[in-house]
Amino acid sequence: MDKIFFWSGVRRVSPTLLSITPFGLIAGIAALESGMTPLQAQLSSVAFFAGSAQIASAQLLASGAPLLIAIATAMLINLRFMMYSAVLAPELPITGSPIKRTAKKMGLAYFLTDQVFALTHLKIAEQPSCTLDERVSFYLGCALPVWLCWQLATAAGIIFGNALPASWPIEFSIPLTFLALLFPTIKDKPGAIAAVVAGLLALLFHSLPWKLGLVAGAIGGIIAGGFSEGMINKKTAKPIQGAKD
Amino acid sequence: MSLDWKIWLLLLTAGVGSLLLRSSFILLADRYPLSEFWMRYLRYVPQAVFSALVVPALLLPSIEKQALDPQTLAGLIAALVAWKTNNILATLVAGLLMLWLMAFANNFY
Repeated sequence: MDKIFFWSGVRRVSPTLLSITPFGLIAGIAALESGMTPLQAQLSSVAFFAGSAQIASAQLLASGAPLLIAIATAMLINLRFMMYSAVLAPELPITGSPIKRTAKKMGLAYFLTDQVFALTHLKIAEQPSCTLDERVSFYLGCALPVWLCWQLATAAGIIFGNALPASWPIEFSIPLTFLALLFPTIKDKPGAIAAVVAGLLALLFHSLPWKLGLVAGAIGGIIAGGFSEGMINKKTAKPIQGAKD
Repeated sequence: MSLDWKIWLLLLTAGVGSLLLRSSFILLADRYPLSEFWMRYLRYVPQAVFSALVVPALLLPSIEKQALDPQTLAGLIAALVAWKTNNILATLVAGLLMLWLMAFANNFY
């Protein structure tokens, strides 16, 4: 463990805790609203450790959707972790005996979140010569505060959620939270196309049973985004090819 | 199945599933790196999923009653704040405050 890199991770991640806290509060409140006991609500933050998947699946269960749809939606939202995993894998070449290596990798992977991925990936790009130990230390320096903050914020949501007046429009804060998460992810044209197509399809198919409109919208948006990126790449790739010839 | 059982099953399966998605390529990348083809689609998971969650939630109330619903208006204001600030807290405050103000004005008149 490299102390300098660990604390550099803590410093880098601390501003993001400001936005993780209200999100965790809402996750705690939404879990209770969906019919979870306080214990289940807290355990959902430990098991998922993924706010948007937690909130969306709790809301689906509460609205009477089948369990399978709630699980599928949570997994769909968490598909992005697979991408993070693929990008970070070559940057964190963990070594050791097969069992030790697998345990270490699983341990690190449990803490993988949007913020931890973004900051670690950036740090390694800034200092490509840093050692594996320094990289892992930085990763944990980002990950542990996020985990702790998430658990405490959920607990606070569970404790104070019951005390909120019934007139407070807490359900409305759930789409607002997703709205706040949506905008920073739209950085280019294909991203905007993915969002527009997904939103329109979800609206068009909203009356389908079991919230299948959400699944249809999400899958349609993902395909539209990837497809339009392919189209744009083809267009911009041509002049480069021509220049080579 | 009772809701309680559904919740426990959700916690178990989604918890294990999340860990598997997170560890997938960290575990397997030495043997099976993810091809650029799949990366290209996975890149758009957040935009698509978040938008599919948000758009119906904000627009359906207005579409169903064929008139502008306070939730839609508050949502549009919040979207503007989200776009300009990229800040969760500011977005929440703007949207909730707007909704609350409109309810207040409605009661007043």
